[in-house]
Amino acid sequence: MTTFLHTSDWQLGMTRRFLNDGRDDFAKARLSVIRRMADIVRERGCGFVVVCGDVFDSNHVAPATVSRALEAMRQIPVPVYLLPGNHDAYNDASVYRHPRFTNHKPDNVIVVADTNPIAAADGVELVGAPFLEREPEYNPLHGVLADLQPMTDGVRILLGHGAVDRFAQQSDSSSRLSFDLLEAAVKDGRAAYIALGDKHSFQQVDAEGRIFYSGTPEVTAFREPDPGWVAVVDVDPLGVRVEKVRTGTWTFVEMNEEAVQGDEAVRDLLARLQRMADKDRCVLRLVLSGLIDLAELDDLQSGLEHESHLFAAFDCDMSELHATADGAAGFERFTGFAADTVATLRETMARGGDDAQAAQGALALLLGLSREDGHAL
Amino acid sequence: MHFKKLTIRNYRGVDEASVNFADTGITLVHGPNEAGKSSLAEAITTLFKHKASTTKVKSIKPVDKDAGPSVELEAVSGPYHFTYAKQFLKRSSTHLTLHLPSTENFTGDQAHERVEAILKETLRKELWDALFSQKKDVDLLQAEGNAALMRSLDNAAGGGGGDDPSEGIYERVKEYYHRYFYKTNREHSEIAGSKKRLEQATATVAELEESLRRLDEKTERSAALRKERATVASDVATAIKNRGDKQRVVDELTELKKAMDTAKQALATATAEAAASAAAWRERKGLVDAVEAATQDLKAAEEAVAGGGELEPLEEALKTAEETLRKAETAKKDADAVAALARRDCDYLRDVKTLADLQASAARLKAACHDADEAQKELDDNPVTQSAIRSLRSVGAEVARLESLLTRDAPRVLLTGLGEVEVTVDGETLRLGDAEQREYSVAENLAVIIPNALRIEVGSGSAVEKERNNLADVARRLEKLLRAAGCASVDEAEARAERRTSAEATLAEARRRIGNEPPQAELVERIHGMDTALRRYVDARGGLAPLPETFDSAVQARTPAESAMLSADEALTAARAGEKAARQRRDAAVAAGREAGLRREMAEKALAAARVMLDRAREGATDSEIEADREAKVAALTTAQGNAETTENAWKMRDPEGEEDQLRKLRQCVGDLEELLKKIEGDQRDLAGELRALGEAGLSESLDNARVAQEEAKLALDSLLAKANAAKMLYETMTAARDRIRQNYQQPLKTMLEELGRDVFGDGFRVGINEALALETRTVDGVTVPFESLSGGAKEQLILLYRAACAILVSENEGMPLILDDVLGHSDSERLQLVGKALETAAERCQIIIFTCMPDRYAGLRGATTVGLR
Repeated sequence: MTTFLHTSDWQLGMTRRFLNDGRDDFAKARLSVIRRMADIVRERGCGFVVVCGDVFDSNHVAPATVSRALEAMRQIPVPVYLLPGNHDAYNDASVYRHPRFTNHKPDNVIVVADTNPIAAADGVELVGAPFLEREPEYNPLHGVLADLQPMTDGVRILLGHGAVDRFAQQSDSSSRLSFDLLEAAVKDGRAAYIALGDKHSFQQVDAEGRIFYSGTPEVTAFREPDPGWVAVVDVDPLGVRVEKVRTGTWTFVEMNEEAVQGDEAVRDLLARLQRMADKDRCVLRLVLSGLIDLAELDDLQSGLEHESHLFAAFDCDMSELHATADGAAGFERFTGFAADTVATLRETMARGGDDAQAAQGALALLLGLSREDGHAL
Repeated sequence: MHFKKLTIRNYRGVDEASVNFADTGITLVHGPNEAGKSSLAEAITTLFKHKASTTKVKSIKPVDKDAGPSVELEAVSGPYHFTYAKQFLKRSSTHLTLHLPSTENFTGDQAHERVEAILKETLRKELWDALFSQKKDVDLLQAEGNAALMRSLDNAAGGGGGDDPSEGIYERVKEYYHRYFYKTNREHSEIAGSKKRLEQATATVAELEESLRRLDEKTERSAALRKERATVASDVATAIKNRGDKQRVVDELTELKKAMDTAKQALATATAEAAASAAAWRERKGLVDAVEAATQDLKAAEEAVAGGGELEPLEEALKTAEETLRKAETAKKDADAVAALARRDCDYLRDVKTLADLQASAARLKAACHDADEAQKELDDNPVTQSAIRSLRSVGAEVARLESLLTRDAPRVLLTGLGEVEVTVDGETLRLGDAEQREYSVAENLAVIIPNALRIEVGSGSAVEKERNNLADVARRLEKLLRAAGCASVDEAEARAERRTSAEATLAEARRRIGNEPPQAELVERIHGMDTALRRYVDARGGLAPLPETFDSAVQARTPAESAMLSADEALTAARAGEKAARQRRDAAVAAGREAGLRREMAEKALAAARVMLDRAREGATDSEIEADREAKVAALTTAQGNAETTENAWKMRDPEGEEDQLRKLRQCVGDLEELLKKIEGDQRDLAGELRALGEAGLSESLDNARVAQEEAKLALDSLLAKANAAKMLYETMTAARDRIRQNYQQPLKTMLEELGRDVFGDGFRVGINEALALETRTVDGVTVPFESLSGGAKEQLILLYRAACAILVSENEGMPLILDDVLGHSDSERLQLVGKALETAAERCQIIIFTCMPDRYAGLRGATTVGLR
């Protein structure tokens, strides 16, 4: 009987544009989740940790990322087995070969660089299928499976990386894993448990519950169904128990607000944003579309600007949000050619097309310039 | 619009001041300084421009009281008659009392708005606003009043109802536009900078992508190198083994070659020895043969000597031949002489003949000369040439003819005797018998005398006379000719002519005969010469043989002589040949004998020498010893040849060159492979180093960051461009609208101004107003002057008219009041006059209010109402 922690896809060194100023925080969060894992290991008494691929977002991450990662792993009190995945394949340029890694690697960190069996504990054998290149012709786990004999004495845990064909998209690469082969392996005893990485959501793959994706311990993108977990696995010759343990603290939220129209809609949206919790650990993407007038637009922009400072990262797409200038207060005091100008610009806006956007901006600008303090939008 | 009454209270230093304006024409509001005139003028502006609640009018606060200044104005605009009042600063308030068309009251903002509505309805509000938005009333002395209207329109349009329209909305728009675009409408460098940043960010991304791509390439290359190294290392091992095997083969061959060389050496030795032995044997044989040969030679030489002794007959033969020759020579000589003589005789006789011919020729020549001379003499004496005779003949014939004519024509007298009668006819007495007739032609005259009876003279008549004269002429001619010819008659002439002709022929013939002969001198000489030569020959000939008589006989004698000569010649030739041959035979025999003797001598010597040599050689080794040695050596040679051949074949069969070549190649191959291996390993090391170094760079994170920067730069640029485009659209739209307004006013202003001006300057008055609505030129009486070049007074005049035109244009009815604050405070009388005219003209169209402290200055104004300030 052995207990271990199964995780994967740490994607250390990852960054995204929309993280903006939240980049540093995000990076820190990805490291601190490792420390959280250390806590779980202690709490649950795990004997070792397996990280099934994509520990690093690429083989060419910044030196600081490597150093910090190693330091974080040092905090884990048990062996940590790192399986190279497609992002951090064990090729000649691999981060795992670099002196920065090899010189400073703590003793508890072991890179699974080949398919030789590893004695992780008494009666526990680990066999990993590391990626030796970024896009291998076939998944190395298949080769491992072919060479294995059922284990009679002890348990064997396989470490693999890749998309299982049953769940994969059309566009997935040639390194897909065959569900049938995997299932056969657990059924005939060649493997007691198959720990997989590559998917960022926690997922049970087979009916019996011996093949799992742990998912990424901290969310990495919008539209991830179930990130932010690790699997604590108890395995013995009789069976397998897998516990889903929360590690993630961040959220990625995508809000699609359509047909925003009128003062009330604006206020409502702002209110909802205001009510959201843990904004400092939330990455928000807001997509707005609709039709409001300039004053409402002003209010909206002012409100969003305020909120933008509260979220870890804030991305707002207003390309489909259009403003009209019909009832805008402030235009009526224009006379003479200024009034003519307003009329012309309104017409241009109404016509639509490429110039409508510029006309809208021109009207807003006119309004701003005509204010007593000359403030322009 | 016109003002009726204005009242101000607690306004600046004025407690209270009030003035009633004339509804039309000029109202002069006069009062001393400090009476509040300026305040009154300002108050109107304050009333319309500012809301009562404004704080921007602190300056109008009274200095000594804590009270709110107020302004009240009664005015008419269109159908509206109203009183509009505002109190400012303290207890501010606004009141509007409408009197017409209906009575209504408004306060506060409502009042303000109602007034705005009335103004909008009854006049051109933008122009009204423009004129009110000016900082202060424009001093006529200020030239900038020229462009003020445009600025005012600007200010008013921008809602310059604001309290401090120091900058019109247009100016702000323009200024904002120029934040993004230069005056040349090029994008501002900020935009360019933003674009550049985007470019750079994009470039950085591309660079990093490229670097990562290269890194991937290097990674792949590293893997490939590893595979390659393994392959090459294996190849090296194989190559080394092959080389070793080949080396062994080559070593074997080397040994074999050594054996072959040894055998060859032995063969060479044996060959040399055999050759030496053979040479010795040949030498011996040579010596033996030499002795034999010498013996033979001696034998032959002795035989030769013995055979020589047949010399005597040859000597005899030679003597005989010599004798024959002598005889033949003599015979020839004699024959020659005989022949020569015969020839000479021939020649002599020929010459004799020739001489005879010459002499004959000379005789002929002489005869011919004689004849020629005779003939010539005849000719000399006989002038009757053919032509002469022809002339004579013709003339003679003519005479005959004429005579016959005459005779014919001449009367005839026929005398017939009638018995015997004696008559004298022309002196000729004749007797006529009975019936005897005598006829006479009367050529000239005929005198018939019958003696003692009758003289009858018969004339011929004139015609006959004529003929007679003719005849006489001709006869005379004939006579002349005959004389010339030396003849008495024609017949004689004929004879002489004939003789002449004959002489001519003779002469010609004689000349011809002369010509046939050589010239006489020559003949003489030749005859003489020949004659001499012939005599000499005869004298010198001698008596060998008799001289032939004739040439032919000489010839006959010559022939045999010549043939005898030829025979003798032939005989001589034969004799010479015989002699020569006999001599040659004898000489040869002599020589042969001598030679044979010599040869024999030599042969004896040679034989002796050869014997000596042979004997000496035999002292060294016998003939049979040499023979034996030769045979042995030949045998040894054969054996050595056999050995050498065997070993050589064996060696050649192994293709030693080929094996050597292969070994060389294999060595080369090993070297190359080891080189290659080293290189690959070097490359691997280099690559590993590069990968390590690149690994330090954290390229993928850098790329992510660069992509982020690029997106941000793009967003920034898009935002900037959006702002710039908005600014541009606003600026362009507003500029277009402004230009339209300008154009709207440009023409009406010009028209109105010219209308006003014509009253002052006459029909030819024109102005030029530019797009900025500023005065540019003035044309009076056909003379166009730029505005700037006008005198001060003229400028003021125009500006005043201009302002009046503006005021008039404000409303179609009666314009708006033109308020002038003591415009002519410091003008001279000339200026007053000019301006006054303009004012008068304008006043016909709109109300003019002039605040002044010197009303006298305006005394010249017609139709002006003067109002004192209370």
